[in-house]
Amino acid sequence: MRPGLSLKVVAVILPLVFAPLAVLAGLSFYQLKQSERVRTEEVLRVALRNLAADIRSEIEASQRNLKFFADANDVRKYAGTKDEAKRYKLLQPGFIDYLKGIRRAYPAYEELRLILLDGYEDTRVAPTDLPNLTDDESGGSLFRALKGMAGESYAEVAIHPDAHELRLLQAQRVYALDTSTGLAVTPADLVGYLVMSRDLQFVQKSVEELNRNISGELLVVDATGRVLATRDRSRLGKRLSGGDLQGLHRAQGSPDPFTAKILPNLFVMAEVPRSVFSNSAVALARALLTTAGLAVIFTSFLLFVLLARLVVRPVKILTAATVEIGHERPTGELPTGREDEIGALARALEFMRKTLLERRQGLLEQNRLLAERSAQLEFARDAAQAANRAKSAFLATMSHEIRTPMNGVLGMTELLLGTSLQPRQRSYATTILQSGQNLLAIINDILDFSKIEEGKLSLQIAPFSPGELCEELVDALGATAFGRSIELICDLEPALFTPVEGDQARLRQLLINLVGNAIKFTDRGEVVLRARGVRDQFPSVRFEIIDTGIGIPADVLSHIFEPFYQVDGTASRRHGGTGLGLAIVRQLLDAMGGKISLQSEEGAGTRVTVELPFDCPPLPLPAPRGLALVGCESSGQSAAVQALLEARGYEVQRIAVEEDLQARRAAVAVPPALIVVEKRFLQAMRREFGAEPAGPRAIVLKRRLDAGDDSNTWSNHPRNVLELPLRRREVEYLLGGLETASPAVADAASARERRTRVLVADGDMINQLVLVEMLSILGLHCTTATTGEDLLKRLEQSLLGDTPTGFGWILLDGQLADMDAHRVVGLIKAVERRHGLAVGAALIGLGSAARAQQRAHCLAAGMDDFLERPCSQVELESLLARWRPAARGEGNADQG
Amino acid sequence: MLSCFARVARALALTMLFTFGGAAAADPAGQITLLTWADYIDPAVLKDFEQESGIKVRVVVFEDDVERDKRLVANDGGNYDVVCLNHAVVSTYVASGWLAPATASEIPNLSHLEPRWFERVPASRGYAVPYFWGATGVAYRRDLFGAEMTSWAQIFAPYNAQRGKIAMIGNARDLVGAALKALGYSINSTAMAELAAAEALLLKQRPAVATYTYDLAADRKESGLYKGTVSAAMAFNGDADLLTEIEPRASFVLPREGGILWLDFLGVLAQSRHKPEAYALLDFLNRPTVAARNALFVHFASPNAAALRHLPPAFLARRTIFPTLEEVDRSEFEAELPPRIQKRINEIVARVLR
Repeated sequence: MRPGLSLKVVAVILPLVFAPLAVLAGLSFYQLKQSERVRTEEVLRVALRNLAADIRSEIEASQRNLKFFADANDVRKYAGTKDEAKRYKLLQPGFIDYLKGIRRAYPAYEELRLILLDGYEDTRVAPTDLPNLTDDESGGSLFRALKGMAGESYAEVAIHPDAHELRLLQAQRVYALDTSTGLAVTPADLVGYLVMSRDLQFVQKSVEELNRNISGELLVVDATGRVLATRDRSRLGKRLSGGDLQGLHRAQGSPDPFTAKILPNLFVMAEVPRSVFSNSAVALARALLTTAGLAVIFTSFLLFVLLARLVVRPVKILTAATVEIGHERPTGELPTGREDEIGALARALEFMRKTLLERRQGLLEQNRLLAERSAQLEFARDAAQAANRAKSAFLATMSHEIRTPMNGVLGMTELLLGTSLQPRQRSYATTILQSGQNLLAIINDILDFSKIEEGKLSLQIAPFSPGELCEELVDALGATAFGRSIELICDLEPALFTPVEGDQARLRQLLINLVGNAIKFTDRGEVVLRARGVRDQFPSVRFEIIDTGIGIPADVLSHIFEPFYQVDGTASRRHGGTGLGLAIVRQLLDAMGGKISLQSEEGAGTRVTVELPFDCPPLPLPAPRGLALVGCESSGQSAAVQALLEARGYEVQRIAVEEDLQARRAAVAVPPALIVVEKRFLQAMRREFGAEPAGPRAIVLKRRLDAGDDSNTWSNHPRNVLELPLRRREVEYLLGGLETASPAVADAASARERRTRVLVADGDMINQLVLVEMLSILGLHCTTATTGEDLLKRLEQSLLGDTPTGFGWILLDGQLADMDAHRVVGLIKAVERRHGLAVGAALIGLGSAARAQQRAHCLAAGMDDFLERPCSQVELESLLARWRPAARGEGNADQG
Repeated sequence: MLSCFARVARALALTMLFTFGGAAAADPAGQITLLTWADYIDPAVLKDFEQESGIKVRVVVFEDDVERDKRLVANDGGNYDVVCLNHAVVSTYVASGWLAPATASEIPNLSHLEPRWFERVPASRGYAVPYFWGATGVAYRRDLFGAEMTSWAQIFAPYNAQRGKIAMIGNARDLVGAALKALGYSINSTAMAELAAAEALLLKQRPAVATYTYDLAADRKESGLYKGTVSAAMAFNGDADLLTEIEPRASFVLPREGGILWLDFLGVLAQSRHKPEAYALLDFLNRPTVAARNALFVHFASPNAAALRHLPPAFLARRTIFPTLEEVDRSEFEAELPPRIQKRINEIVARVLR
């Protein structure tokens, strides 16, 4: 929880209250401490003085007593009795009783002894537990001290030799008294010493008495610092430490305020306490602290309560009011009556609340209207969507329903055209056919679009070659373009002939739509279909459709992909179409993950760029083959040729106009290895290179559908001709032949023969029989084989003999029993090469439709195409047509 | 406070000093003072002596030897005319010059005394006159002690039941002598180790001892043995014999280690100013009939050979008073000890008595 306002304010104020208190307390504490120290030391000094005086007076008292005892007649008489026998037999028991009497009267006088001048311990009275070790004291330190003492008496604190403890030892000289006269002997006859030993209990008692009400410690120590008496009995017998001991040593030399010497071996000391506070001082400090603490607590409480009442509660009410400002009725009563800032705030808030409420009423009204409107709209939208769906369904149904009768119309029209008709009738029928076909295309579009919009579009992903798809497409549309006198150029990167994964049919549909549109909206010039692999982070293939048509106005570019959109009504009338083409394109691209962009200049042409995510790896770099000159009317065409030639290793220079050729020729030191030109450059060629070029090989380009002279009018080599649009296979075949200079041996007869021969290899006899039957219907000669070995043997046989013919097609099972597809394809190619066959048979794999990967497998193995079984007669026929030997560059001579 | 202490001390010292100092004032003419044990002389005999000679005898009694010595020391042998002293101090008294000569010339009846007593204490010859002899043994109550007393050890290691019911004689030589006897040593031992052992034994015995004051010193009917508060006590044979007359359950034995034999003398003090009267008393006391009468009174054996003839056979047959020869042989007579041994014994007793 975050600290509230009250807490914060208290936290700010408290130090302000507490700090002076703390400073005051600190100062008082310091003052108190100083005065306490002085006082304590004074008290200690007094106590020490008292203690010293006590001990001294006690010692003096016992010394006086001792003197009194020693002066007693009985004692002096006893001591004066020199005869030991008499002394011990007669006198000593009495003397002992006397000493015992003293001890009874003064229990503190622990031991009383009479020691003679020679150190002999004459009499001793002591507690039983104090053993007497020896009677001869002459060797002891005490006796030495007695002998050497200056006055009549002596006192010291020393270790008692019998008790091994410190004792106060006091002694008094004893002088003899004449036994018979009872008078003092003159001169004084010193006979011994009365020695008294006191334990130090009295010292301890004095210490405890004086220690009672002082702080600090009073100690009685001997000269070595051993503690003889103190309040803390656990310290008894222990040595002083540190500063105290140093103080003691100092005191032995000079007076010290806290140490006093009583006897040579007896000192009293005062230990100044570390903490100088007496109980009263502590109590005072405690009271001070308690007062301060209570003041702080009281102040905080007061502050807290005041804040809570004056500030926090109104603020809380205001906060609550702010939170529920949107409510109609606020729960709390706002303190609007107050005259202070909070009152002003409350009034402002109340005003704000009212204003808000009014606005809210307006908003609610508007919302209600909006909700009504949106409900209406929703209803309308639902109706529209339902209508749209109904429309799509209707369109689909209708398309289907229309298509069926249309097929009938078209079929009948074709049949009608097959009959003998008058020219006028034929013309009508042809018109019917064309109109019908147009109508069918429109219907197909509608059907497609309906399907896509209904979400029924599904992609069928399989490997296919985008390059071949493009060539095929250009082939198919070639007629339309030719009919409109538009040049259709196919510019492909050779790498695109490698198979990629994708939906071939959808791509074809897409491209047909775009290229078809381009052709449709182009009146003159050319349409280029260009495809290039894009090899960056996201590999793709970029298709470009470039036309020189009417273009699209900039303001409609964004609408162009909407369904049913047409640039203008008149155009639609002129160009026809449903307006669904580009919408379909857009839908297909979305489905395939592609993208489209459109650049257009009205009147100059349009460039449509489509990118599709196909991974198309580049081809290995070819070996350099020298310079190639390319001359085409259209730069698009030149680019297409250049792409193919560069892929084979040629360095390409383009020639734009005839004059260029000469300049180029002059500039280039090295003679070109290859010259590829269109027919219209032929004149220039001849001029330049003569009738038959000796050095460079020359290829003439002609339009496939040009009906005119189809011979190479420049060279005598009829075969050095390539048809436009270019086909990669044809280009490679031709160039392969030219480059290897291997003579193409097959003559026209054998070529013609090949067109009728098919080799069928299938392990399944039923399949083989069906296929042979279908081929026979097409008028083809079949040779059959059941295994790969068999197949190779048949192929070998066909190429041997006087007239080696080979086969136009080899249809082979993708899964022959004895060889896999790779192996058999490799062996077929090897056989063909061995027999110098420039163009081998078209290899078509056979396989089940159920096994999708078989197509890919066969194509990967190097086969040209794949035929799914079972297949219809039409499918077989179209396939064979696609791969007929003539189409693969067998030579124009075969045509006709 | 301190001056108060000093005052007390002084008062005490003064008391001690004058306790015995002025006990005997100077006797008027025709009167002598005798310092002796209580009941140690027949009052009838003294009455007879007064009638016969006109000399009045004042008797001052002491309770033990220490008291007697103290009295004499206080006045250096003065204030008294005749003193009764035990044999052990005779030589010291003589050496101190406290005794006046006491020969047959002054005391004609000395001839009745057996010479062997003077031989026992050579220092006495010419200075002191044997008075009575006896033995120190153990008097006990058969009924209370619960066993036959045969050894000193029995009173030094009493049964638990007897703890606190033993009475000893606090006199130095007797007390230490009994302990030495109990240990099997001689009562006259001078070996420090034996004395130390005796001290240890005495200290050990202390808790069992009811009193170190002689139990039969005064009125026997007041004694612990008679009352039954004491079950066994060191005792002099004559005193014990008197006790048995009034308390039949009491017995006296000289333990098998032997008793302590003693001999008491009477001496005339050198400072006496009534020496002729004193000699007259001694002579009277040694008259055989008088000695016999006195012996019958005190129940001790008289060293006066002639007196024995005047004693009834029943008295002479009392074994307590007249031990058998065998018992006497077992027993020891206190010998003179070196002064520092005496000092050691004093010390022991001082410690035991506390």
